[in-house]
Amino acid sequence: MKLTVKKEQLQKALQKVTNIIGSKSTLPVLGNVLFEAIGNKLILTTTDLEIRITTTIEAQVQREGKTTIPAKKISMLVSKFIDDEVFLDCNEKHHTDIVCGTANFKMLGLPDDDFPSPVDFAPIKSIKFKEMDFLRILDQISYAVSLDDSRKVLHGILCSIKDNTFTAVATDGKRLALVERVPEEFAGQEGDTIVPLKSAIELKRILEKDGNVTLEFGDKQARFRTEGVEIFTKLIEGNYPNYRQVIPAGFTKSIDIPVKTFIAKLELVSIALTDSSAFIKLKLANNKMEFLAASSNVGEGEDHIDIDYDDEMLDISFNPAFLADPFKHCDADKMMLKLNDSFSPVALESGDGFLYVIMPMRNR
Amino acid sequence: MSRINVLPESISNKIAAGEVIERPASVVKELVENSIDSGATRISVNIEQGGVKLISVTDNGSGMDQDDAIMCFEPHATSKIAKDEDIFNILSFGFRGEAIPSIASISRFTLRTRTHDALEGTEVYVQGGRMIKEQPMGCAPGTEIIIRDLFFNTPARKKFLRAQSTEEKHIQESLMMLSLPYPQITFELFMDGRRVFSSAAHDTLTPRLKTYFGSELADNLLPVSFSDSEISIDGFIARHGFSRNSRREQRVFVNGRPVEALAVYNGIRDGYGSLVDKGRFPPVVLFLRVDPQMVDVNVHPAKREVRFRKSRNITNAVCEAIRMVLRNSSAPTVSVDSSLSLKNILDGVRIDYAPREENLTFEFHEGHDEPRENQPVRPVPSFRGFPASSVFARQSQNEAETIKAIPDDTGENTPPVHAESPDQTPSAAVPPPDNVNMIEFTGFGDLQILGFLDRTYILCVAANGMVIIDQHAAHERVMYEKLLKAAEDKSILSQQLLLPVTVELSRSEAAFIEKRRELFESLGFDVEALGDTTVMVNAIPASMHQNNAGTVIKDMLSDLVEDGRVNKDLDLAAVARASCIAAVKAHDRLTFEEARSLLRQMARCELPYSCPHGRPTVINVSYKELEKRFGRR
Ligand SMILES: Nc1ncnc2c1ncn2[C@@H]1O[C@H](COP(=O)(O)OP(=O)(O)O)[C@@H](O)[C@H]1O
Ligand SMILES: [Mg+2]
Repeated sequence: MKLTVKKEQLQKALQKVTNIIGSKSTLPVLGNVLFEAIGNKLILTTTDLEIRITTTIEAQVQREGKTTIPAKKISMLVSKFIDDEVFLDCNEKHHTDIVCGTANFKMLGLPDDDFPSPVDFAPIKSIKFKEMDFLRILDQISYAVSLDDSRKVLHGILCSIKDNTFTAVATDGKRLALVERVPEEFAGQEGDTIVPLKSAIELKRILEKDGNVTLEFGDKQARFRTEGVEIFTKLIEGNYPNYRQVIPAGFTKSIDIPVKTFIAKLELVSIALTDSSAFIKLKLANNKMEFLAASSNVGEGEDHIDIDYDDEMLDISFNPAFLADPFKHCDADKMMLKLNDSFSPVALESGDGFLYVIMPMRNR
Repeated sequence: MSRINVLPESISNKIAAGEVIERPASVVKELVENSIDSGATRISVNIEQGGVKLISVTDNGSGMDQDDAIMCFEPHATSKIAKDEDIFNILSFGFRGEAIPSIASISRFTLRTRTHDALEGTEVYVQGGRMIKEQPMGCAPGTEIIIRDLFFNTPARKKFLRAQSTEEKHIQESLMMLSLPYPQITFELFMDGRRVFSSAAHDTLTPRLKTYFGSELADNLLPVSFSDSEISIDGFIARHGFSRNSRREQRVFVNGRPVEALAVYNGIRDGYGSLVDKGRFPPVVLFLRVDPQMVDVNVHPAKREVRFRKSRNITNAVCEAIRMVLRNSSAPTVSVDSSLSLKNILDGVRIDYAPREENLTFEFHEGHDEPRENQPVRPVPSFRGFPASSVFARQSQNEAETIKAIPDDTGENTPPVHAESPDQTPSAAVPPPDNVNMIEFTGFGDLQILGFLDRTYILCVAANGMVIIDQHAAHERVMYEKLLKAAEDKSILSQQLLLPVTVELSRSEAAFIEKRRELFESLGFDVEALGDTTVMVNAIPASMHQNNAGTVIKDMLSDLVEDGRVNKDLDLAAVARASCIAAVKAHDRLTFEEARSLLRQMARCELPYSCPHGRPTVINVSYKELEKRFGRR
């Protein structure tokens, strides 16, 4: 393998693929990036055996070939290079000369034969979104994914397609975030799949302003493709809980909430809180929403916003972080708060297919 | 003037059957008690062949005149009770007037005694209960009693004696116990010519405690002093962190007399509460003074057991006395044996949590410069690649958590909703090591955090050394106290679950939940049994951040199970303890600010120095210790 690439492009490509590389892998080759020079292309691949990321950039290839190079070192190296072009030349012992301007390195790699090859993949459905749109979807819900991986199915995002509508759901059992969108294109079977949080995060990293992303799902694997990058991932097996069941069929009260003011007041009043068992109380009455917070070691705070509400007086308490999350990830000016009483699930809707359901806290 | 009277029948009848002389130690006890009663300031005990050959007790007390020297061999002869009512007001040891005659009947007994104002003394020799001779004799003021050939005429008894070394141990223990309430008396013990101990009179008990129990324990004893209208309690209790697997070192005295009293043991147990594991006993030396009328000493004449009239009050007083001390005490001073590596010491006090994924890593925060109040608030830099957390950030780090910090990744990190303004950085006044002997620190608030070790320990600088805090144990303690307090105030908040979870448990575990549902509820859980072995969790305490409520319940029960069963009588504290353990099981990294907040919360804890299971939360390594290890001293 012998080639020349633009430093800028190589650096970007490495950033895209090296995030999944962990330090504790038992297989040394997993700490390396697979370099493949074919035609006028350089293909970079990494894998942690769960996820495989591949990106392709242009290169002047003098001699086709493959090798693997330690990911951390080459990333560091390339990011520090000053000149525009990087020259790579790999011998049969997988020693690669890396030259940029006056800098000259030799890096010891591992044979490309050791690098795991991709598994066969047969998609049964394919969904296409604008990259920007899909990024929004992930942004709107991924904070609600359970961090606890002992309940496996909740440690991922449910991607469901039915009646030409794509639904993404995330929940940690205490709150749930959901987005419904119509994709640009859809072909194949309807059904549910669960994408691991980690893969969703990798996907988020590669999504850009323009262009499309194609999501292809098989039984146990999925492939996400954008211009120049491909993510291949295992799916989480198992049944996602029946989330429709926990969304209340109807609400007796609904209130328009100004997003910016709400989050500002919430943050303000939360300054009175310190510890993790903190809660914030909303008091609804007389066209006002009061925010109340108190903690034994700081003190207390309150503020309010004007709302349209003249129903019965209602006190309802929340985990402040759970309450803030959907507002922080909301593009709209307003959200609709829907509720029945102080202890049943409460919903937030932003009108663009986003729905958030949160369980209030309760004093016993 | 002679002082000994023979008890009228009526009184002697009220007294329970005579104490049996079981073994040489019983003789020592009786004789030394008499010496103490005689007002001696120096008592010397000499033993040969474990007491079988010879026991001699010499004192410089009042001594006896000639009449009393003879009279004391009469059964029920005593100078200590004159009237019927006296028997209920006994403060001195002897009251039965039968020790001397009993001992004299089974040995060759020599008594030499002289009162201080007499010109000469008296010698009496009694053998097997028969007086052989009585004669005037020149001797020092006080009393010397020599017992030879104990049990010589009761071969059956003699057979029951244990090995000499065992009998010697009993004698030593017995004398030690007798001497503890009397620091102002000098005690000496010799065995076969060898000095076992000699403990000089002193104003305080401390030197004696050191002599008897070694400085390791003595240095970790805290003085107790408590009194109310009914009782006064003095003595010493071990800092928690020191416990034994038997009650042997819980030494209790009532009105100067070593006793075994359930009411007191219960008070000790309650006083330490969660600081001590079940089946462990912190060493204590407690001297109780109560109105003698309140004590029934005759529960079992051969044993030391006593009962109290208002035993609940005694238990409460002891508990309160201990709590008062522990509340104000600092961390245990773990004496770091230089032959042990620090790692071993840490391991010794560590609580096991989830397996750690990485090798020992030492993370240093950038300097110790937290933002000060007058500086612009900026995120506290940390090596984790995400900023210091706040109430919000903690929940919003889903992604940051998953993303490994790679060199130029900045985009994904969710900034905290707001930055907490941290406390003023404490000035770490480090005095020169020269005048540092103690390794106590004044409080958690004064600690300056250096960094984190192995995601488990917080390393801090205190005024005179290093303080290592087990973050999980500390966290458990903080949660535990909060939880119990909230349960008391009925201010516990539950986070209801949008998706309730079912958990499979053993029958006994499920039955426990079913039966004691109210315990779980008062802590913020909403659990219901669905079948014999299935339980549904509908809500968990708001303070628990676990997303998997099922695991929480499982972890809790595994903490409560003992020998495969859950004891149905477990109380709220036990369940609260279990829930705290379950809550902090996650091996989470702390940010600098979180660690500071943890320390601040520790400072507000009632018993901050150990986790609810009684393991230490904190150990200190003093400069002195470091100097020792580095060979500077
Ligand atoms: N060491 C001693 N010094 C002075 N008097 C003693 C001593 N030992 C015994 N006596 C006298 O002998 C009496 C009898 O002793 P004892 O049989 O032990 O009965 P008690 O101690 O119950 O009175 C005591 O009351 C005391 O007057
Ligand atoms: Mg006596």
